[in-house]
Amino acid sequence: MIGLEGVVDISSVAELKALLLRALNSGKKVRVSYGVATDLDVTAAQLLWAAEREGNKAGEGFAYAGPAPAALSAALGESGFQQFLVTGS
Amino acid sequence: MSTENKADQFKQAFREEGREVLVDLESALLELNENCDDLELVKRVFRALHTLKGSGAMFGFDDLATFTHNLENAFDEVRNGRLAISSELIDLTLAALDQIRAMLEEGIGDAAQADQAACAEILAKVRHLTGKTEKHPVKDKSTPPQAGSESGAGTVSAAATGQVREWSIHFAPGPDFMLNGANPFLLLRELREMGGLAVRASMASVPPLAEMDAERCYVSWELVLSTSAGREAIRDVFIFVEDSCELSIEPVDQPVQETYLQQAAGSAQNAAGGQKSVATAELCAADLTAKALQEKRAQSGGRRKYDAPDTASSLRVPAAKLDQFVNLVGELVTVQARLSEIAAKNDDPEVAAISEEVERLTSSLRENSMNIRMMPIRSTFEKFRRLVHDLARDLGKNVELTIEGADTELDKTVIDQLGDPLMHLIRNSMDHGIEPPPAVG
Repeated sequence: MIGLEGVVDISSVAELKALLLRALNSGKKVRVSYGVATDLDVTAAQLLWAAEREGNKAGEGFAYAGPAPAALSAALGESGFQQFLVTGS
Repeated sequence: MSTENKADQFKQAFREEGREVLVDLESALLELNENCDDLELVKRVFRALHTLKGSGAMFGFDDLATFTHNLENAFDEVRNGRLAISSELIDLTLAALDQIRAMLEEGIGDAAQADQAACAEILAKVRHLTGKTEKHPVKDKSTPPQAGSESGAGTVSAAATGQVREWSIHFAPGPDFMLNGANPFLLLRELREMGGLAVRASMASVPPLAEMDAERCYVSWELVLSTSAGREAIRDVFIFVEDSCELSIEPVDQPVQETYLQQAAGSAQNAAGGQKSVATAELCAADLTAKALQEKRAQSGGRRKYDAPDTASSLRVPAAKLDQFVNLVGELVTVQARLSEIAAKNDDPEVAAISEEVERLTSSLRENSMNIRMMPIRSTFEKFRRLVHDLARDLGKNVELTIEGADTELDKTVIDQLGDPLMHLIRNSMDHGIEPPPAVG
């Protein structure tokens, strides 16, 4: 399970990418929790989208552990990501 | 270079651009004071304020953006004929400009900070003039506007009485966009303030995860903006990032297909409501558009705007670097003089020929380096407009400043040193050389 906390932006995406790659290579279903994430920038959003694409393609699957906080979900929707990021479990 | 350093660099670039915008703003305000009916000047002031607000918010100058937004609203009222230009509004905006300048310099050395009490007083007076309540351009992150909302905040241009039309906007940030401290989400938010906005992010260019440069932006956006603002006003939103992104703004001739707008709003509603939406691999309309654009780019050699050769006719160089360059040329001249002296003492024609050649080149280099430092004195003279305006008001005298020969070029060092003596001359002239208007009655 990968938990997102606080503001996930360009300053922390290198770490997030490493976590996602490790999870994808583990051969298990990747689960991501928005947890207490308050904000995602575009670099974080595109990483999650790419991880979901690859998780689903590999057959192991990718899922979010729960819905994104309403404010974050609305902000992502406002930025055009509504059709890409799964917002519920 | 670290992300933080790059962000600081971008902030510094905004400061430099901001200073130029402020000079233009001040000049426009003072001209407007003389020509109250000039709508072009009103638009110039509005655009300058709009640029400061939008770009300020984007680069983290939130106080500056909020403060400027209230002034921008006042000039939006003027622009739309709902508020008349008055000397009070001009003076308030000039006073506000001083505070904006301080906000711009905050955090740099011992620069003076903006006076919060003065800012509050200015805003209160501006709101009294416009009869409006306070507005904030930078929304609280904890309460973002409804996703996919098509009504938009409607705070500025959309409120204008002009004809509303739809614009199709393609926006693709370049490779270093995020590293430069820019944030596409803030740009989208600013566009939303101009009117109804349908937003689609295209993921067509996102590579496999392992191949991704995590700090690079691969997403592009296809937007439809419904607003009364014109192309230039929309372009202004991107003014500080235009060179690092691909941008096209085209009017939509046909009414935007309702299905497209509804689809965007519907999807956003799902997102906001926390319902499960399907992460689909299908290409959405934006992806198709992006694909078509990619094909078009491929046909034209795959070159994007920010990849284009740099055709700028001028570039910004820090004064310190220029001084260092001139100093080095000075040292070179000294060494060249020694070489000429030694060559003269020796009867070696080969050394003499080389010495003459070095002398010729050094002379040319010195002349060029001195020319680089030559600047028109206009910028120094223009500063006096504000001085004369404020002093005339404070002294209760009618003073008209006429500037001639502003294009005369002088060495930068001379210009720097001319400012203070000229200012004292003008102050003394106005204090002691000009009589106040005769009292009536």
